[in-house]
Amino acid sequence: MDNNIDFKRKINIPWLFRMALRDSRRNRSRLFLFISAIVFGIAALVAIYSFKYNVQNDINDQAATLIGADLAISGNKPVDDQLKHMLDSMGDERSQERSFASMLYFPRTNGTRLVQIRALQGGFPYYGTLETTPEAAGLTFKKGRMALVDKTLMLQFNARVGDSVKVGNLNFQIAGILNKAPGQSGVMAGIAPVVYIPMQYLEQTGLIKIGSRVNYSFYYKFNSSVNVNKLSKNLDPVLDKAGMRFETIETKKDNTGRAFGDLSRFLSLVGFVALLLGCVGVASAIHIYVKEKIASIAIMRCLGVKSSEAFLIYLIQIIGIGIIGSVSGAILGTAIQHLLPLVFKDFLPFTISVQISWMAIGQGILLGVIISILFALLPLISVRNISPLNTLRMSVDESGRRRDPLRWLVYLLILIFVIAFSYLQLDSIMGSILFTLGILIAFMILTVTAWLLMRITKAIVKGSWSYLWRQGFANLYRPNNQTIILIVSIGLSTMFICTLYFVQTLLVQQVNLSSSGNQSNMILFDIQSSQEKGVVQLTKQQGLPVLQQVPIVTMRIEQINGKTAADLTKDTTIKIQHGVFAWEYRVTFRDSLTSSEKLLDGKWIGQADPSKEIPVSVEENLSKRGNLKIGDKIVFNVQGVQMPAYVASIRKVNWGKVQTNFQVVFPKGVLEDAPQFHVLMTHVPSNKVSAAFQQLVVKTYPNVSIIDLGLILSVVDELLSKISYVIRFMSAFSIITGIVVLIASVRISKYQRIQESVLLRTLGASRKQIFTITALEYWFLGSLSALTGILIAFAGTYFLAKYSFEIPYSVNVLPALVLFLIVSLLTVIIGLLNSRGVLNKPPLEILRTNA
Amino acid sequence: MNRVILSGILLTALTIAGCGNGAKSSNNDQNQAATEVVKTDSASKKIVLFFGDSLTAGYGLDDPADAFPGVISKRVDSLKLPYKVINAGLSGETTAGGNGRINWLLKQKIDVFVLELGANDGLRGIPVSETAKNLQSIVDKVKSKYPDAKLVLLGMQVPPNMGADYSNKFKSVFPTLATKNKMELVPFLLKDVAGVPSLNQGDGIHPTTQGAKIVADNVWAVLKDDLK
Amino acid sequence: MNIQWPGLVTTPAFSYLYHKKIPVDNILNISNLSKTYQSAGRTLTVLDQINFSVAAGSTNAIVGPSGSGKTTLLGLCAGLDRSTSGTVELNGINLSNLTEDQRAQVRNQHVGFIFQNFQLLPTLTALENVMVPLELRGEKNIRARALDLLDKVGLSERGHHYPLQLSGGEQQRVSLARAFSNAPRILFADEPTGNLDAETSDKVIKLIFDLNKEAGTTLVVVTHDPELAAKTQRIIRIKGGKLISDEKTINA
Repeated sequence: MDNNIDFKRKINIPWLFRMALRDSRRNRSRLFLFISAIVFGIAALVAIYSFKYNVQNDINDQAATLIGADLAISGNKPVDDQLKHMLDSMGDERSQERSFASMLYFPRTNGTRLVQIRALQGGFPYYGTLETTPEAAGLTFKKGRMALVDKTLMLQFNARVGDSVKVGNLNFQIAGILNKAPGQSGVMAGIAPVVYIPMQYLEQTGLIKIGSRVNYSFYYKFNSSVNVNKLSKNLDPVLDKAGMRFETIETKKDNTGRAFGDLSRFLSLVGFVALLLGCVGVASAIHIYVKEKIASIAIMRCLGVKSSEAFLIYLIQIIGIGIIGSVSGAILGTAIQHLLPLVFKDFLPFTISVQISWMAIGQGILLGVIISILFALLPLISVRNISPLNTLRMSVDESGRRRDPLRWLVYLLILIFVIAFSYLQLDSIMGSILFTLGILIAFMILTVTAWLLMRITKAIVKGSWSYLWRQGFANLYRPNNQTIILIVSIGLSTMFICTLYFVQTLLVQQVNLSSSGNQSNMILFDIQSSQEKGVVQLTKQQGLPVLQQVPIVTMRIEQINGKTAADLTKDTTIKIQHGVFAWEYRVTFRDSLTSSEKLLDGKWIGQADPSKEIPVSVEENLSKRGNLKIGDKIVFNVQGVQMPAYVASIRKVNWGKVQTNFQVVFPKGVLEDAPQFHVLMTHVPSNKVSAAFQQLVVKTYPNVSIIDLGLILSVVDELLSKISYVIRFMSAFSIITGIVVLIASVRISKYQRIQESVLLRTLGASRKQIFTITALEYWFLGSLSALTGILIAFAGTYFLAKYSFEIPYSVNVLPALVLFLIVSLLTVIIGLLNSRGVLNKPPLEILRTNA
Repeated sequence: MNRVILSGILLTALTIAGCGNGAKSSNNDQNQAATEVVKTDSASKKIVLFFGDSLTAGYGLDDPADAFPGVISKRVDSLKLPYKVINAGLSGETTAGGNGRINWLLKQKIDVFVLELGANDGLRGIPVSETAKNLQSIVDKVKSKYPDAKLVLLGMQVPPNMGADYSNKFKSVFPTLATKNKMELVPFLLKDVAGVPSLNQGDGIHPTTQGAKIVADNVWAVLKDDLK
Repeated sequence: MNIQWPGLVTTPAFSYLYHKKIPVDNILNISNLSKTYQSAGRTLTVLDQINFSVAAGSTNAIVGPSGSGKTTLLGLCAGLDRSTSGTVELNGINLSNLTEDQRAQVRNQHVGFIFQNFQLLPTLTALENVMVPLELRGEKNIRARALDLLDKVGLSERGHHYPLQLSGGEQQRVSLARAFSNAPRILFADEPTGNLDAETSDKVIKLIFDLNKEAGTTLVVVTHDPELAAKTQRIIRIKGGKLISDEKTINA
């Protein structure tokens, strides 16, 4: 008898591959559509990642010009032999610098001015250049007894290239005008203009003697990829012992303000969004693709194909599709990355380098394949349970299929995977989990919205409605509907786009705030009360704005709630830091808050009653250090005079702006007579104006000191404008790719409605009627998901602003509205395009080619 | 001193929150004591006022009483001299600033006036003539209010890196002024301290506790005669 | 019998191994077969205590009005579905105790199918559709044999066409070729002419019976078509899920 069944029949792997290939052959155009969604998703991801990595490198290179070397070590004492040996053995290239304040003499014009002399030896700067006029002077001055002189200083003393300047006992010829120099930060550069001389002449100037205050700097460049941050960490204790400091590009970035942090956080966000755009593109394609394959699987099962075999056939196919899609996507993405900067070359304020990022390509392909598999697994694991009975009746036992416990495993895998990949982008486990959680919540909100929509339309669609409306709406809940998948993919894409736009706007605002623009770049201080009016007048006469003008009174805190510094030493339970009493507070008085201040607690009181306790406002951090609460009593010692006060309010201060900020602010009415000096801030548009103004001020008020931040800020400004541009570029690019992915994911719903449309067409429905039905369905899907996505974006931006970027939250409704309309209309247009084929060809042909 | 006034000014975040960030010293005790003295002991004790900058205020010292006026105050107490020392030092103070706030301090009676200003001017390269003018103005104000007060001028020098020309001019301001106003002069306040790393704090400019004792000796050598 | 099964065989699921009373002349034994569905809290009985046997090599028709449960019965007989109670014994194998994968193999080895809507794999050519069951069994000379089968149904020229490029009759003939490709012991046909016009119907019916006779296959056909039913040896009538008559025809 021939009923021997070998249940252990081996799985014939080559046959599975053959079946997978065969099954993909028919309807290549349809397959192409699905693959295109993957291609766009991955192309978006690869292009964004590539740009991200390139831009990160660009900005890092740019940041390198802030110190001009990989590592800078400095101290104000000569180094001992042991340390010298160590310092001389590090790095691939080394430079040394001695810098100190000195009086520079211009023999021709007989002028004298405090400057900062920088005696340089070696190839510094390694990043960026000493920008000089003439250009070559930056390098050639080291060859002779020559100097580079700060531009403003040249203007101030009417000096010319070729003139000589006297540094100590020695005359130097001015080789060039110094326009910009890397590593030119530090306030010394602001208060005293920089003059570079070659170090070999330092000795002869006679300025380095016992008692001279000299700063010793050592600059290093590392050719090999030495981990400078690690190295510097190891050096730290040694240097600390020697009283020296170090700076690396990283520490410099940290100290240059929040722009770098903002940028890297933003790029992380963009990376995460790209990841999810990739996911949306791939997942929606795969999901619909596999759903279509259910009938075929049932037939195969009928013919005796084991469920595991059916599962494998499609898994193989999906992996194939995933690889093809991802590789093509990676190629497309890389192409975009290379072409785009070429196309926009003329518009770009600076060049974005276009190196092939294998990291981005690798991640893109890996991601495409893994996401394809994971999202295919969801419908495919239910394939294992597809009853062959489906050949007799469609969708029997639908409910039984849903409960496969393996689904949860797949969900878990997807979750782990997204977290893992976002970790690659965000570099923080907590961040990855939170971001993923956020997306999960967004996903659930969208799913629930879709579900509710289906429920609600089902409940409200009435027989009395016109047929077209009924049909259009009914399509949303009928079997074989695309409501959930489309709402989720459109909604998520819209959300990403909108969030990116919002965050971008907030960040660019923030970055522009910190760049100088119209902000102060010159600070005049130590203005005496008697000089205040005159200085203001002088400033205005020169056509310069008085951006800030504040009186400053120095005082100390003597008691807090009756406790003094002495009590602190005796009683360790008092929660006040010792420094609170030791500090010399520079305090101002005014009647209102400034734009950089925000009231956190209490009430702002701007006018004091001299006979009562003085209501003062305390900055947040001071309130923490001093354990100060509203109503707490403080006794201030204003240069010998005790002033009892109480904490009336606690303020938050944005320290990121170039302006005077205060830990303690007094109201008007008490400090007017106290000893005080004044600070005035202004913005000078150019070196020329700066030079003229400085000269005038110094002549009239010789005691007034001027800090010209122009030179320092111009380096930072350039950087900030690049950062701001990069943020805009990356967000614009991501938004565009987001829209392309969105289009692709709506486009793949093309075949979903084709049968019905053909049927309606066969029954004699007019073009217009089918158009209306389709338009209604897609409009509803598009507008609802766009709306939901945008609302989630509002919330998402809030959390990002508050917890990730820590910037004030504010969004503009208008762009959101525009986005809403764009997405809704786009959805309708693509929906109509999808059904266009149905309308232009005879129904039968469509059925034959697309069924 | 230039560091004192400037260290609070950051590159992008200009904060004049507490120039002299990390200033640990305090002249509270003296000031508080001074106030008390004014209230209770003014009849019995005479006042020595140290009017100066961070060198007087004791910038960077753990205990402000370790600054040279504090050292002198202890010496005065141990010798049971009928004087009360008041420290009116203010970190970052220039001669112009001092000229601006002197009236605030002249509200109380002064018997000995010790003037220690000018270092910050020198480090900022302020024209020497300007420094001299301001110091003269301060002296004038003290003289007109308390003609009987004894005046002591503490001489300063700028580090050699400022250039010999400027250094020499600056140095000469103090003897000139002292002679002109018949003031007692300490030729160089930081004698034996300036330029000696072990006697100065990390910034290389403010004396340590040890350095302050030498500074106090420098001052005491001149001041002791006025307190008898 | 030479069934090899790994491990201990003690669970009721494998009880068919011990009940080896295989009536060699019966290819299909249905006993006390019932199928109920739970729907909205109500129990819907689709099949109620059906009993019959089918002799090897015979031709049988299951007829009845729409909704009588005849398609469900076919599904159960062919091992496409699991019964609520009762047993289906196909070629001596109790299907009720097999897993879906094991039943799939039984189908692959012993059962052929023809469906009302043909159920060809749309992405495979006619030839490939015929090849699938052979390939699953890992047979040799698959291509030649499949071509041979196509030739038998008169479609040797159209092997490279996709199902949608074929007419209904042609598709059904391909599915017939596929059904016979594994030389099944039993062929189940679900309204095989339901989607065909009269003329094509006749051709397909003739083909079914011819192939059946040639291969000695047992035929179970579910149909509305009295003409088709009349061509079988036995007509089993179902109504409301119950077997109401079981009679031999003149062909018997």
